[in-house]
Amino acid sequence: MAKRLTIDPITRLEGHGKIEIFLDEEGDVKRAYFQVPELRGFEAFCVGRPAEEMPRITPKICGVCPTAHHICSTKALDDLFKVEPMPAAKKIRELMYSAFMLEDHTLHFFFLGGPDFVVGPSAPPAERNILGVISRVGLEIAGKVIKLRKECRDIITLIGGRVIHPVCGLPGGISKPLSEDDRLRIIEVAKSGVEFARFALKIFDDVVLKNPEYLDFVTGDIYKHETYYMGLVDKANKINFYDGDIRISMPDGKEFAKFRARDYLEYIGEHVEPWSYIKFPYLRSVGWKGFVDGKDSGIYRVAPLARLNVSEGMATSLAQDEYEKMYETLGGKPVHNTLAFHWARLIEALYAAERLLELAQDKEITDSRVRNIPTAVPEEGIGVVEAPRGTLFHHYKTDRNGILTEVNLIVATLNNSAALCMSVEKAARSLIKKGKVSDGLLNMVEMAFRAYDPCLACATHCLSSKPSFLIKIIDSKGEVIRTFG
Amino acid sequence: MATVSLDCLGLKCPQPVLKIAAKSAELKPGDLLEVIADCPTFEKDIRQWCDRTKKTLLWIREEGGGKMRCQIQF
Repeated sequence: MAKRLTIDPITRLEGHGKIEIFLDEEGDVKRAYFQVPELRGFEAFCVGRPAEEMPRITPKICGVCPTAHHICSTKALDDLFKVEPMPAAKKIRELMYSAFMLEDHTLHFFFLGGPDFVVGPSAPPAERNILGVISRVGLEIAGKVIKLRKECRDIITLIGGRVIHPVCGLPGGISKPLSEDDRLRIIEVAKSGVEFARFALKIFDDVVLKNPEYLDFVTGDIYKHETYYMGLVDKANKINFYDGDIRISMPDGKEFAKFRARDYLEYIGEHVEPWSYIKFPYLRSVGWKGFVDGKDSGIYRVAPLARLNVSEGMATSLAQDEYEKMYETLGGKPVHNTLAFHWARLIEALYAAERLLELAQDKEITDSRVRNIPTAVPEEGIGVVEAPRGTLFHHYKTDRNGILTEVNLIVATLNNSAALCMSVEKAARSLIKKGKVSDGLLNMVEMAFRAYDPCLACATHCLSSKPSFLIKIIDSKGEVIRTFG
Repeated sequence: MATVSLDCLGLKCPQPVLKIAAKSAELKPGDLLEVIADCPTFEKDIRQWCDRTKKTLLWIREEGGGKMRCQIQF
């Protein structure tokens, strides 16, 4: 009775992927694969271009997290041209980045991951989406979500120059200063952002933590892996999205390594499998041991829960309170439960809103000196930021004319690629028994990857030439009046 | 003493100064670099670049049509 189950396309993620589940003669799961079947090869066609074009080229990898690529690329150019940005420029970059993190984390909770909890993991697929969330939480709350995201996008547009793909970053600074009027306006948005993030945490508390069934999912073994973790921290080992050192913690929570972005290749290797276009990064000194967790396997995880696990707290007070509550509820550090990524993401959203407010309240941010002139001959530059989905590296090498000769992008989701496979396979093995499969069970397998908020467009730097789904508009008589895709 | 030309027409800030920084590796003390550019911030940028790198901006002039030409002594 051997059987093959395919979920294609998987849904509520950025990019495209599929899951293949192979059952044995008993109907139990023999193997399950989380596959990324498309490749664009972004690094290859960047070679030969002027390095200074990279902050405008690389954001096109993705329509969801272009701000992360833009800022990371700009930081790589700071390093390449050996120029230190002016203090106000750094603050404006981080301010825009904080608005981006708040907006992006909100997107995931309400549009992508949240429907599994708010509507229910086994609810009909037609309801397990943002419209289902709206029907449960009400139009007023839905309006708040949309308003907050718009206001954050307006900040990104104001500073970045464009609504989707920013163009403001320059080696040594930023293209224009922030006006006093805009600073005051951003303060108001940030204040409402703080309130909104607290409200989102309350929804998580009400919907997930107070529901014994969901709490069992979060704390149970189906969605759990003991791995290493990686994330950026500041000098006090607090979470920082924009800058700092990279810290890796062991499965028992102890510090494994702390290093500068420049040294990342000493720590991270990349493994390749024939069945996926995505690569599998691992810790070099521990080694690649296959898709297994534990101290002896070099697989590590990134993104919200990983960042909280590697840090010694949040740099803002309200987020710190929530950080302490999470670890107290889940039994202390580190937390290995994959579904706790959702909780950590909302704590980070609160931190992003508080940081946005801090930066907007800093009057020095309106200093008109926002650009340092680069003077050095370019050779090699490395930039790093914490993207919503994890640690993002841009690494460029150029000739003496600043023309790119080598490009390496370790994109946030890529760091989680091995963990994604492990999580999907473990969930499939735990949930599918004796050939009994339902739509709800398959969605619960998908929940294993959705917690990571993967962006497979970024991870393979991929843009499919054809859509993987159809959109039909049906009139009141049930007739299809228009089809897209 | 060599005179080297650099055409930065069509390049927008910060590209002209990045090209000049890259070109500077080829030049020796006393060499002249003549640059033509049409970026609106070119004059401000090149004055700042020369100031920071201790190079001498010998002259800079408008050539019509938004073009600026300058000569830098290394």
